[in-house]
Formats: sequence, structure tokens, C-alpha cells
Amino acid sequence: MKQDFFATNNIKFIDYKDIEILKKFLAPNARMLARKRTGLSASNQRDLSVAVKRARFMALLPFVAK
Amino acid sequence: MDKIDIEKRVYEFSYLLVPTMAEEDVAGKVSQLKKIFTDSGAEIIADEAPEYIGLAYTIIHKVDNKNVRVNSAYFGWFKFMGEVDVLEKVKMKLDRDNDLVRHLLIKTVAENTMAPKKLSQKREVRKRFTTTTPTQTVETAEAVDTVVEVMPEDAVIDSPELVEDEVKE
Repeated sequence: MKQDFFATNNIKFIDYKDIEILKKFLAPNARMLARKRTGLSASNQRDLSVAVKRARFMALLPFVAK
Repeated sequence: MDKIDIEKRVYEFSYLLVPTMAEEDVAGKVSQLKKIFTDSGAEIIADEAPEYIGLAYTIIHKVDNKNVRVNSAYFGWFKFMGEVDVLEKVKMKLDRDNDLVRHLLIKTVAENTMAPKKLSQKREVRKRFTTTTPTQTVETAEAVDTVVEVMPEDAVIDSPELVEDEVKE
């Protein structure tokens, strides 16, 4: 059974500045992985998507990578 | 009727400062930004000094009707506590600031939100399939002889000659 990364590490708030963590949930072309692949809870997956979008806006993460 | 007490909330302001700024001027610029917030009634509760970073993509920053391509910037943030009307007051001033390449105002929590560096490595997002076939590697000539000796004498060897004999019979 897949485990929720944020629940296991007791992370309550997903920070957009923590790009090393966010990168774990991105495909090589910088797209977000589906919940089926990340194994996150629905709530954490939503929070993750918000964090990734904020990081993209601040140019900490790319929108696309070739 | 009693006046409604407006609840104070915690917000975070992060910014990208232009890379053309001299490193010694950055601290002065940050204190100037903080002053905009404190003057509007906010209270700074946490902060991190700006760091020079390479950006993930090129940002086109408009300065005096000229487009400037920005590939690196000083990234910093601070958290502040204040009422909702603080945001309206500061937004106007921040939008006019040419030293800010980009900025972000979000709701957050007062506690430290950065995760500790050491985290459990239990999960793997993607499993990559690897196929391994058991092979016997032989490195020296002596080792080759021993491998040959191990082979039993009555071992069936497929060769065209044997096949021809079977056909004749």
C-alpha cells in the first residue's frame, strides 16, 4: 500500500519554498504527477498542487522542462 | 451595537529583487519593504534574508516601458501579522516598485513551515523496472579452463553434424 509522504513525515503545511520536496512529485518534464502515482491523500494532493503553482509563479520551479 | 473585532491573520510576503542591485544595497531595500508593511499596521513575525538564486525560467520585467529579461534574482520572504486591510494598502505601493521583479502575498501559519532536511526515504514515487539476468563472468584464461572442465562429457551439444546423422538414421 502506498503511503502519504507528508503524513509519514508529519508535515502539516506544504511550503512552496521547499522545492526539494516538491520536485519529488514532478515528472521529468516538470508536470505534476497524478495522485495514483504520488500516493498522497486527496487533501495533501490539493495542497501540493497549490504549492507547486506558487513555486512556478516565483520561478523556483519551471512550468515546463524539455 | 458593538464594533466587530477584525481578526488578525498571518500572511507571507515573498519577493524577487532585480539582479542588477548591488549586494550591499539589498539589506537596505528589504528594510524599506518591511517599513511599507509596518507603516500600514502589520507586525513582522519571521523573515529570511534574500538569497541570490538562478530562476527556473526567464522572466520579462518591464522597467520604464522597456522589457528586461531576468534570469537570476534575490529571493527572500517574511511573514507578518495584520488585518485584511493591510494588504490593500501595501499592494498599490508594491506594484509601483521597479526593484521588485515579482512578489507573492499569501495566507500562511505562524509556525515554521519549512520541513527539516532529514526525512524518511520510505517511499518512491516512480518505480523503474530493471531486468537482471544471472551471468557467469570469466576474467582470466585459467578461469576459462575451470569452467570448461565443469561441463559434463555427456552434455548434448547442438551442432549441424549431429542433426545430419539423425536424419540419415
